[in-house]
Amino acid sequence: MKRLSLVTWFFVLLSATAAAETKQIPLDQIWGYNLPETRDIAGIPLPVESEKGGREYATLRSERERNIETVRRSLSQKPPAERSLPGFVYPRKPDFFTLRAVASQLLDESKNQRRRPRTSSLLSGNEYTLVFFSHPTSYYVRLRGVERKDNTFVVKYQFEPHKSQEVTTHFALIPLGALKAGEYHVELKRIPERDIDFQLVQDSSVIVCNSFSFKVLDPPVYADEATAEGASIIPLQDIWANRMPGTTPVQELEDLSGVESEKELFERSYVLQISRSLSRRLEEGEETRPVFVVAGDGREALEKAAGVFRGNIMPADEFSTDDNLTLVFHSLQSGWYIHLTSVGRTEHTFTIKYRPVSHMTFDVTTHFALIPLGRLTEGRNEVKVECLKPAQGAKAVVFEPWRLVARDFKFIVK
Amino acid sequence: MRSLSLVAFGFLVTVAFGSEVSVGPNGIDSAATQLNGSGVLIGQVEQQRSGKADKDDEDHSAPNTFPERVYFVGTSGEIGANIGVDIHATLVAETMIGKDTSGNTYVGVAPDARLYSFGFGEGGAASEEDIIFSMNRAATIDNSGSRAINNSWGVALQEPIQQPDGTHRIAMFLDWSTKRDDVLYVNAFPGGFANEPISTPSDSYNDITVAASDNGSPGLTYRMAWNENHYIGDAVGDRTSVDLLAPGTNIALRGFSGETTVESGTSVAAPHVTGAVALLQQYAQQQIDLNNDSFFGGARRHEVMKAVLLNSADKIDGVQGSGRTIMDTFGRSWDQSEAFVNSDIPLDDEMGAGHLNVQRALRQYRDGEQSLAAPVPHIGWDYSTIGGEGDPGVQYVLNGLASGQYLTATLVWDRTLECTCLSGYTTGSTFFNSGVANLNLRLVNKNGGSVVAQSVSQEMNLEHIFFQVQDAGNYELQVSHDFGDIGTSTQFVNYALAWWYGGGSAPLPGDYDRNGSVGPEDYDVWKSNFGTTSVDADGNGNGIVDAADYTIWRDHLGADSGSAASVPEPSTLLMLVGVAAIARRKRSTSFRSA
Repeated sequence: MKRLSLVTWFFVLLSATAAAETKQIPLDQIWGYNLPETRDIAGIPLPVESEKGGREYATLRSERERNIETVRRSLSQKPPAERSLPGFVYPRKPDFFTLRAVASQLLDESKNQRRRPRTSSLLSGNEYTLVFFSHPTSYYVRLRGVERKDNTFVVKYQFEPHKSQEVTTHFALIPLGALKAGEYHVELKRIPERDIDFQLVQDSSVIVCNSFSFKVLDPPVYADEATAEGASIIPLQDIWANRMPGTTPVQELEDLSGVESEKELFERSYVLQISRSLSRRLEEGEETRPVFVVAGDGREALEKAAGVFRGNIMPADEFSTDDNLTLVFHSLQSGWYIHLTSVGRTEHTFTIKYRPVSHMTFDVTTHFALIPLGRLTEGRNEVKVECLKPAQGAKAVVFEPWRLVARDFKFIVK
Repeated sequence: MRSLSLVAFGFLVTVAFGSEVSVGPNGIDSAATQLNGSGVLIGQVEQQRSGKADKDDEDHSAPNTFPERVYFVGTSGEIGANIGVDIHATLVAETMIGKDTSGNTYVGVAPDARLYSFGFGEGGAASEEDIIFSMNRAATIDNSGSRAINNSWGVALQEPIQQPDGTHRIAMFLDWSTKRDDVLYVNAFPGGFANEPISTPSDSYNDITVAASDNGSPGLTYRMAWNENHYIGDAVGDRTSVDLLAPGTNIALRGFSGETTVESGTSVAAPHVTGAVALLQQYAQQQIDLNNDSFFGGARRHEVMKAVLLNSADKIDGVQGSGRTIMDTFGRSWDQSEAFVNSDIPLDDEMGAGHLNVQRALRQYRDGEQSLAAPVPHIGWDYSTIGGEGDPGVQYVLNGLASGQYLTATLVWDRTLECTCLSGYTTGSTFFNSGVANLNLRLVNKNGGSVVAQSVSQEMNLEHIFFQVQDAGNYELQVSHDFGDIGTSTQFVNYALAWWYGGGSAPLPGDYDRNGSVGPEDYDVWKSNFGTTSVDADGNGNGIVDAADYTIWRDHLGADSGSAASVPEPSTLLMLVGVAAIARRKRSTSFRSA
């Protein structure tokens, strides 16, 4: 191999470091409204023939104007003293449809001070648009540059005094390109005004959108349907479960005779208590809980599982060889059906495989399964939870196991 | 006490519960109407069909759910046993028509309605055409077609290229079919955490779109908009999708083999409304059978059903007999919503017109269509026609509004569409010339002629006023067709208007003179109307004033006023029963000879 000189090495490293540190997104690649040096958003291209959705260009042109007006109107709704919402990203490159989605989102936010709509996780591989905006103000807001440094985007802006009595709003669709998995930060940075005598009467945080962070995740990796070679299988019909085809309905473990009201029904039914515990969404930053193991089987396991879900019992991770064990698998309330496909065992490793099934219907379901493990020999055991490729049905959304399904777990038998 | 059987430990036990909360006063209050949907044909369309207890085996049916007919995909006759069934369709059907098979009460909203359940195909296999085919069949079957069709599903739209704007072919078919077949589609609003939030046909115009309400815990009152309703699935622009709230959480039902199951979602909210339509339609048919003139004409029209159900929805506790204050997901009540203060926005985007209340809906509906010749009664509806753009329209005179009283009024009309098909839908037909007439609704103070409240939305085919009167006096409700139609203009527009004003008193059982209390004077009203079809003393709404209405009066005597009163002697009652029997025989004779 030909040796590089020290000087060459120096320049290679310098350029690599510099490239990693800062990358500019040129203003002329940004679609802007009321933002000189950017591309006028009124000219954002209309969709090509294949994307028109059967609409005529006159209609689309009219919609483009309407969407711009919707953004402007939505930005005008904020009470003057209220702090601005953060900017946000949209998982698509800037185009006609992104403008449509942004207009819709800002309109939603402006109506009744709506919380920002929940969205699916942001996934790597998509192109992204950063949405920058400002509310009505008697200053011009000027974009002075957008740069990326590692996973941080810095949007630099400046105020300029109006020469008339008008108030203006401003917004921009900034192309971020495709992003890899990771946590990203967007900093909105006001730089000193050119006029040194300029004094801002309002706090800039009530005029311009605020800084924010977002996470980009890798899409889930789906497991192979086949079970590991040499694995023994726990038959599905031996598993007590709630709404999982092939298993035995867990409701059959309950005796609800004599129940006289719905209230009493919920108080007496462990199945319903568990379902209610699972009828929730994760809080921001919260993870799903792992699967867990209880000592006992059948009705005893159901009762103990209900205790764990209600928070009355802490799940253990150490058991005796005398314990008859049951593994509890579960998923939170969602618009997906979670169907167990197999539970395999190789020595001290248990592998639960499930398939998410999307559906057109507007029911939300919770699922859980009591998987009998029996008495185990001494050793450290591992439970792996693996997701198979979803049965997509009529939906095109990405399944997000990290939001819904119990995670892997380890336990010891002594 | 209700009784219900379910399998436990392999044998049948008797358990007493059901969806008593969702059909009771804490839910939609339908059970108290004593209507059961008898004779009314309703449809259910979804991916798979409902199980049928007297056809499918116990692993494919709920023991209390008996649809009259079940179809799957394109079969011309009924499908065979156990084919094309799923639990979701079965639970939705049970919410509408579930019966208590071991007792004398029921768990569904309309247990005797004739439900036809259609499955259009599993998973992704169903095409747009399959879906339309099934809906068309439900709308036209047996020549008369269904009175209401329940859709507890949605087809995902490819955001952002597609939008919930009513232009998808399924939504266009639905609006076209509503008008052509005079059927009310009841669509579930998108709901559920992982569901695709943007979908159709909840973005159609002529339907009732139902979001779920939450009662927090089992047994409590449904009064909160469910926080899993996908509000970002709302129609685009200033149009809102949600028309009504109905119970959508903690619905205890019997699944396959009678297993206890609890269902949540807008999927189970929608069938509460579909079942409610069946009850109103049953009442209408009873009145028609009794030759009640007020129920000929528009009484069974889908616009009337929609206007009645929306106008009678609960908003605020104590107002017009409502027993609950409903809240959006921010904890705001209807009078804190934008719809309350913004005349361009008729309905709240989370709560719609409010929470379904069938007892109040029946009260709204039961006096039949009102004449314009005189001041209209405090509670009523009308089905009428207005001319093209610029028609100043029709005035409804409302006399004697008191300061502090509320007025609620709802105006409903259809979005119009044309179809390339000539007589009835045929495969591949397309829809065009969509038009939404710009009808508006105003409340005018007759003393000075000023508009004190109005609903003048630009994009919706519905107007709704909920207004607290400041100045006592006489008013007019004005329906006008203003300039500004969207799309194709029409020369005349059929509309339904429902209103409720004054008193604010509940439809107090036994309050036959409607003075807000149940006293001896109500007995006099009952007595003078005994054996007639007068709605004044028809407490149970069965179409005739009879002994059962006396029982209702007796059971509520003293309610509200607290006045002591003596109950008339049974001998008097027995005498009246005899008179009624004679009257009924006479009427029957005249019917046969007619």
